[in-house]
Amino acid sequence: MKNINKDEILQPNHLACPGCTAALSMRLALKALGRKTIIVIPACCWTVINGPLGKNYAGVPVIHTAFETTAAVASGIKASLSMQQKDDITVMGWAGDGGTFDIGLQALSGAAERNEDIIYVCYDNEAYMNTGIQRSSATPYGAATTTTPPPIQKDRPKKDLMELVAAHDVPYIASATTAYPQDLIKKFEKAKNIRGFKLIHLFVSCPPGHKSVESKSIIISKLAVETGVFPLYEIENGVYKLSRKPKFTDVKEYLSLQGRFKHLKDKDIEQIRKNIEKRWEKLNKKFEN
Amino acid sequence: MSKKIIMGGNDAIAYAVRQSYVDVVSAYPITPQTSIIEKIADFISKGEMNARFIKVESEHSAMAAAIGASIAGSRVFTATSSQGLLLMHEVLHWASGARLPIVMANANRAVAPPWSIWAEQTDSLSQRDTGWIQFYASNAQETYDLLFLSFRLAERVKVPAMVCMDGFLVTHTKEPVEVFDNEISEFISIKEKREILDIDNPKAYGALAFPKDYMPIKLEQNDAILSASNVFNDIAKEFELISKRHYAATEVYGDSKADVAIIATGSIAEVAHIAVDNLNKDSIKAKLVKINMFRPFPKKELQEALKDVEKIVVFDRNISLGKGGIIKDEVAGSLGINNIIGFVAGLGGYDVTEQDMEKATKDVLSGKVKEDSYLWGEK
Amino acid sequence: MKEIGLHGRGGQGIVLSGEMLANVYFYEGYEVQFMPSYGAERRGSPSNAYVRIDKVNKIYNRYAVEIPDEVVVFNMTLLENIKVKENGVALLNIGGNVKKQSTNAKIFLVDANSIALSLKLGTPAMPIINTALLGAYCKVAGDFSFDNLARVIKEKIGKNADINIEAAKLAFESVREL
Repeated sequence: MKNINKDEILQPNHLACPGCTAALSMRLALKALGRKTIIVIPACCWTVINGPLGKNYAGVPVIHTAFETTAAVASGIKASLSMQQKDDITVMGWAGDGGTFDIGLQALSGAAERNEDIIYVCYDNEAYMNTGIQRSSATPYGAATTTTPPPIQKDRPKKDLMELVAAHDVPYIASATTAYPQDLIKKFEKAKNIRGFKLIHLFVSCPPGHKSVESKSIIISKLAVETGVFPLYEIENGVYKLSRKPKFTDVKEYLSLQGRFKHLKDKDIEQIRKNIEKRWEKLNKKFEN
Repeated sequence: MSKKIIMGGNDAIAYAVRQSYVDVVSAYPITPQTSIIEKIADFISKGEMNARFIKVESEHSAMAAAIGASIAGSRVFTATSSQGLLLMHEVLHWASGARLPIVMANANRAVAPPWSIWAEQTDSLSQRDTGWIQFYASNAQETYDLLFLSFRLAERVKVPAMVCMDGFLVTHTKEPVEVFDNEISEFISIKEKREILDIDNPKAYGALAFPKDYMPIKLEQNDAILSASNVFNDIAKEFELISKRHYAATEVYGDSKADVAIIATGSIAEVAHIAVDNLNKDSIKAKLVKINMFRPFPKKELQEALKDVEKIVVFDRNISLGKGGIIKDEVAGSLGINNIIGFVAGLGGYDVTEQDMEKATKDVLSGKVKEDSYLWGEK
Repeated sequence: MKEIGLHGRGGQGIVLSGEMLANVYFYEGYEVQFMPSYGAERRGSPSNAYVRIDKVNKIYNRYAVEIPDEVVVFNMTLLENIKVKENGVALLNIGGNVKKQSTNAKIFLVDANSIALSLKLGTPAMPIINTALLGAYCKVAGDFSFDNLARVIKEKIGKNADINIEAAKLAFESVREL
């Protein structure tokens, strides 16, 4: 077992829901990045988790900012630090899927294209959870949300964020989840030591939003990987590297643990299986090259 | 030693930015602002200016990046116009609420549709509630001088400031501008200490405020903006010692015992000088009250300047649709007066001449015009 | 106050000419204002620039010049649409003669294209004529010195200044009244 930094930067009593892995993700990320880190947080669950006025559970400087501005604000901070020769400070944007896949995509694209020396993290709980579970473009096929209630559940697949950012030719892109903490930490450590734009896409389990049991968050995250729903991989300077080969266990188990999928019929589940296969066909070609 | 150079408002702004020890510039092109950021890029490429220029993908990101750079401790400049300023609207609030002394130049341009690239102040006046200090420059010299004053003022009161200038009529019209050599260095190199992101003192900025916390914070911000009036006078005095040029929130020109006052900003205020001279030649005792600083609103100065006049005529190159000229409305409301008539004029770059203003003023004095009106088809 | 209009097409250096003229008058001690008229960026479309000068008073006029006192026409295809004051001055860039116009403005002619090409300034398709026209205007206007024009050409044009000053000189010498 790899040595994990003992320094607990994230403070206890933060305001995350029980079973939220967005909080655990931050705890592990900060273990990798250390205290010389500045975080930009747009409107998202972490706006609440980090505490109201006067609180700062993250334990490193945080600037709360407008929903769609994460990557731009982080770019500005980095430019300023670089003018001050404070190049040893890591600037990290920490946004949800709404702030990344949807409203913040333009600023994200701008920062990626400029190859800003920042780490952009999307903690992806696959819907607007902070406003009470509305669909985003990260919501997967078949999921129920308050704006996609069955039988009009989402009928489009999730947007492929990693590929979108890869099209910007940036040095480092990775996916991770708290079910594989060492892998997650390793990827943040790597990102910290690469100059230029880094994207880390985190799958995050959300008991209220996914209608799941609080104690099952890690299992759900693990199943997301093992069923092939959430591939763990890196794209380093354009080279694709698989972090963990899934067992491709049946997706049904993953779906059955989450109430957001409970309305799905067999044909819907079959469609999800097909979507996974199609995604992996594409990905495998990239891993081979 | 200072010297005079022929330049436009945009050139003058870029020139002043180069002399202002700006650390970070974050901007996006838009007519008629673009030549500011082109010139800055040119200065940086030639090594004449040591700054980071973030070439963002939108004005929204321009202001967002400016916020990031400012809260990390840098002196930051950006520039925009019209549609770009409107796109920034949300983040303008963010900059002022976070008490960041960002300085911005805005080329006043009409808002589409229909498309227009020409002068109008509706763009910036519709940002009057965003918590920014607003200056309106009438000529290139003022754009140059107000940029230095803006940095010092913004940093002293911790409120962002914008210098507005009418598109083309001020931004591109070239005229002699007295520029500093090194004599401005001491004035502009003063940077106030302020709280910035600090890894040794990890705080969160902008976190959720419950109702009991929100209002006092906003009132404190409002006080800070109001305090800019007096602070500006102090800084302007300091500036005058170096430049021999006097700046104030308002400026009066013409007959001090005037019966009628013309109120204007920007390029129209420049033309109003001629109108006032001509009216005085026609034995109409007139003066110009030029508004240089619109936020904080110069209530005291206007009360003083307008106390003895019988009639006030305002020329607004802007329109609050469904209401009328914005400046007229603010002057009347703030001062609680009703001897005031407003003319909406020059929208979308339509020319406003001294003849237009003289005729409108005479029409008010003769009683021909009794309520708010507009200038159109006079030529 | 005198208002001068410069009329040509995008790419002919109208804006630079106006700026140079403003600088020349500034060196002569005049109050000056240079007002380019701007539209969207498009090569070949009509391009106008205006210079206001005043011996004494600060120039407060901030609106387009309607009818200039004096005009310099870079491109004869635009002639129909150009206005000049009664008893004003029009300097035309033309090789041959022009028939007497229905104006009582004084008309002056100079072949700036030939002068430019004789000095290899630009190409036959796009000769660089602005300095020649300024040289001719110096003679026609008679209110600024050629030395100040040469000074401004040096400041604004840099490495090809000498040949441009030569063009201005040739035009100064060859401009004639119709």
